[in-house]
Amino acid sequence: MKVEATNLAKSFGSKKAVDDLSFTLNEGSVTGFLGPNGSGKSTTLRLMMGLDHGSGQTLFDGKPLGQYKYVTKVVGTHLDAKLFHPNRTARDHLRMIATESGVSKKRVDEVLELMGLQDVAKKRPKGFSLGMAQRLGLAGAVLAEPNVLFLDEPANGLDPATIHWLRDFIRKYAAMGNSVLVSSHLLSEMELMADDLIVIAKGKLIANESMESFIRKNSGGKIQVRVDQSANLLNVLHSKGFSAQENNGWIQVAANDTDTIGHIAFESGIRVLELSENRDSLETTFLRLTDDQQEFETGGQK
Amino acid sequence: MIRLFKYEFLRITSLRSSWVLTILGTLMVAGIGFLALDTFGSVARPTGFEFSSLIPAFVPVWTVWAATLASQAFGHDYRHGTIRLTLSTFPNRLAVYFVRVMTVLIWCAIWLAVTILIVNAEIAAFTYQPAPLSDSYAAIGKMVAFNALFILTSMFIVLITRVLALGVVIPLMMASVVENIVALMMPEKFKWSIEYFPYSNAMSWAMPWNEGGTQSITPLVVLTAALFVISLVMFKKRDA
Repeated sequence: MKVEATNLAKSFGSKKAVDDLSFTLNEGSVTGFLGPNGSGKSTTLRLMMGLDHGSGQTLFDGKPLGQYKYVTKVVGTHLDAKLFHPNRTARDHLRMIATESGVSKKRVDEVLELMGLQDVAKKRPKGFSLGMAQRLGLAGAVLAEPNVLFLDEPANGLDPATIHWLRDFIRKYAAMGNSVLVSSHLLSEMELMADDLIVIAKGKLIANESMESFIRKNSGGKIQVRVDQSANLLNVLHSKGFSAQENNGWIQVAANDTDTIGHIAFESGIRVLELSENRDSLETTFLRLTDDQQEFETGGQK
Repeated sequence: MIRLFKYEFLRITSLRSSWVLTILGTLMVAGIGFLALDTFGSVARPTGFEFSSLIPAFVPVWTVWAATLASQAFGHDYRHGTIRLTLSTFPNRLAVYFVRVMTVLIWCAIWLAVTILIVNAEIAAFTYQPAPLSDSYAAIGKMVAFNALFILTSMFIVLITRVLALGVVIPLMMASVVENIVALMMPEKFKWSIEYFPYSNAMSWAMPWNEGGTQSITPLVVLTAALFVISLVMFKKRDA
């Protein structure tokens, strides 16, 4: 299912929490939703679900959510780790959600088992750890097997094994043709999980593209090459306007792809011994991009 | 709509506190009824005892238990943030509002009917030739009207304030303390306003011994209507 958010905006007094955001979620892909604290991610998700009032609209295969008969079959949400009544058993919590789309009791038990909650199904979740609470939230989101998942920080509080499981689960869920929008501050996880990225800061869209493209474009373009005639290649690169310098036998070039540098070396008759892209991680790229966009900075005044 | 009723039914029945309030409310009224009958019975078992004599066990005692349950309807959602769960499962806010209010009223109606039957059984067991329940229909009708409005104001106050406790405390304090104190301290030239106090007037109106009195339920009806409009607009317009 294709999800199109158009001109989403929301203000709290004079502060713009979400400022004219437009993006599309593609079928069969996991879209990472990134932004510093207070950047408007959760508000955006609530706007998309109609929980908060603002402007703009979100269409699910061209229709607003309210026009679908079974909403939980269209979109499953996990917006908060502890969005349940602490004294209602895990099973009853899911049975309540199940009423919307007529999900069977068997499916409720299936999902409890899928999330590893079968042993605590009849327990009240007030004593659940954050990880257990996250699983219950996820169980509610996927209960009716929706075409779209909105997950807000689903990996918080999960142990490494469960994070690994969650990553696989989300990727498989998207691979079945579903759309998944997932926000997380665990950027190394996001790098492994997401196909596309939406990055916002102070409510504004910073990037909306594939993970590959985002990192490549924002990595600062570092190619490293080792050749048999370093001085010659340096001269050629400088003459073509590249910023390059030699360091311990390697030439570091500010460029976006290895192909260009390889071609230049080849055309200049210089033998290339090694050529590689010095790619930044998502975390490095994200931090660089949002360095001056932090709403709430730590570490005191700079 | 049926799916939403099922959701609401599960919401109430899956919480232990709903059952605790319902059972304790019933037991307390039945207990008060038993004590009252035993008091009468200590001299001689009364003849021709009418159900309406036990209306004070329902107003305000049962009412407060029911108002507490009613306050939980939206109060739990706001306290635990689960209003987001409710509205992302059922995005139609008007439907959620009306079905939830209706479900609480239906639950309370059944609960009240069962309590009336229990108390009536007590009367049958502990008195000679009790008056038929039909003799008390008018009094029961007034008691039901008062209870329904009291419960509704509790729910609406929670919807407006998003604080569960206020739904219980405000109507209870107004009915039992505040309006009476204000009435006592009211300067002479404003004494006329006392008859517009919603809760104390309506409570007096619901008591069987006040038949033909000047008390009226109208101020409580007006208050309930006003709270209904405000709460509906706020529920519709407010961010979840």
